[in-house]
Amino acid sequence: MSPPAQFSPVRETWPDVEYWEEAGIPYVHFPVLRFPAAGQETAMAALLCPRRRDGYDTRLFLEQQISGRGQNWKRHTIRGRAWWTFSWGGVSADLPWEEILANHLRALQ
Amino acid sequence: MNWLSRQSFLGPNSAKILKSARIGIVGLGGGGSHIAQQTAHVGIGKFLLIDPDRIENHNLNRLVGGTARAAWRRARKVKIARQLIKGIQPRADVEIVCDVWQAALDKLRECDVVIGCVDSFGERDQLERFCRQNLLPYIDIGMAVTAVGPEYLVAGQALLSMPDEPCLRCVGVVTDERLEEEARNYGDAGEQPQVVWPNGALASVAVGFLMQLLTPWHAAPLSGAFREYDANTNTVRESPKWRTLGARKCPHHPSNDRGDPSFDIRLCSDGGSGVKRSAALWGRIRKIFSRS
Amino acid sequence: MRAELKIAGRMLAEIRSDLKRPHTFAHERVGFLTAGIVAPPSGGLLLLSREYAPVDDEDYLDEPGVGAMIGSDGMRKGLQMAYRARSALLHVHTHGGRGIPRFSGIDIRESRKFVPSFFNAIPQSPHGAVVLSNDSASGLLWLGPDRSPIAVTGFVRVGVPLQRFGGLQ
Repeated sequence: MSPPAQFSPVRETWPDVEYWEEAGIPYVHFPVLRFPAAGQETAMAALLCPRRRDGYDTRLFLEQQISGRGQNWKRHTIRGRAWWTFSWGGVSADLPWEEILANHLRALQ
Repeated sequence: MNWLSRQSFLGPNSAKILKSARIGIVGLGGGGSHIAQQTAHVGIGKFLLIDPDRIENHNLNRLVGGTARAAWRRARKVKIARQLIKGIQPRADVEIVCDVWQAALDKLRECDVVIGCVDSFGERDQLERFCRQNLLPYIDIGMAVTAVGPEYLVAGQALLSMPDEPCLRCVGVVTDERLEEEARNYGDAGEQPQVVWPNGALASVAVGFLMQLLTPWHAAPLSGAFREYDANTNTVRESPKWRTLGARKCPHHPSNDRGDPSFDIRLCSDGGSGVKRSAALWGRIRKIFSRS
Repeated sequence: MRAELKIAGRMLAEIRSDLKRPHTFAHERVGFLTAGIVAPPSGGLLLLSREYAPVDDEDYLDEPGVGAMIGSDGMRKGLQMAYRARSALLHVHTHGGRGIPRFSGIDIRESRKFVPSFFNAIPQSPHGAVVLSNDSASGLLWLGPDRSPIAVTGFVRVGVPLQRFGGLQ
């Protein structure tokens, strides 16, 4: 379970991130991710999937739903924990992982 | 005479084993309601029932325990199942969760066996994965009515999914194509045609798996099982797919996926509850510092 | 404190069969079992078996005073297997026979020497030792390198049939 090279730049920006895998799919776990959502500063656990799954090129999972932002919120279970995710397609898995995250967070601003 | 005396062939301690067993039933609709009823009759003592939905008029064609009055009142499906179980076993320990199963992961972890009666392939995939990661035996049932020319084919399957043994992906029930198709509909499996008797047949197969899992009555123990039900011919058979898989170890659920990837014993002060308390305290401290 | 170890049925059969194999000079065989951990809100620890690896024949030391003695290479291989996924590492051997097996004085003395060293490589996880019989098991679990071990309170064989056995019932 060694993290791929794309994980290193993410860790430089967020030192407490963890590299997770489930069924061979990589995830970046942010114990506390701070980001602007619905016009407010928000902090919660997040999980970035930088690879294709469930018909999405990449996906962002959050500990809580952001009210008033994102569409079709659904619950998912990854590595034994429940996460919320929303429909936000078109973020390519070819981008650096920090950019993938930024593109998903843009949908919640 | 004991109320379970007619099933003493299940083994000398079977009544005690069944009474102490806790099963989780996810989905209390057409399939799950049959399972709730049968497992109450057979003597299971502890139940965790999970379903966010309420009964509607169009569920009355198949939901065991459903009544016109309950449909009119739009009663919770888990409450109907609880009433059904309590009617058979007044002292049964029945816990209900009127929410999606993802809201009850800690409760599910404490079950001995989980039985999934959920509609979508995505939910089935996730629930099985959760069970594999927590070394929980998982029993899955599903059925479909498919129009073929002028006829309708009514068919289903029941899988006993055990750790390291073939899973829903191994037997071809869950595929990436099906998951992607569902994702295009935002995870909605849609209004599938359903009828009562195939659900009952599949539920009976599932309860048979459960009995083999919990009691010592069967001379030839299974490692897992996959049965197909054809309602057009009224037959249940072992799936040919299962036979071709043989003793192959499942490649879809790596054993290193088991457990909490963030677990850290250094956050444990002492005693069982100390583990969780310290983790929660540590989380709060981190949040406070992240805000500053 | 409650500490339960769940082992997949297929894996437990493999472990028992592996430990039965005779060795050229060692009186008994040893293996390493890794486990993931969950801390349920109701308290205690739940250990979930992940991988098993036998100790290679050449990693046994010829030490007639004990059942089996493993060299540093054997220990290193076990730690490598656990390190990748930050797993708990459990040293496993069998006493055969039936019923709940007891750790011998030598088992406890040797475990106290090597188990605390596992924390140098994987400080996040508890580590320990398990002794099997043909139908049961006992276990000791260290929650930290400087702490006394606790007993594994129960084992679950996740197979058909599902079986609870061993530990402190």
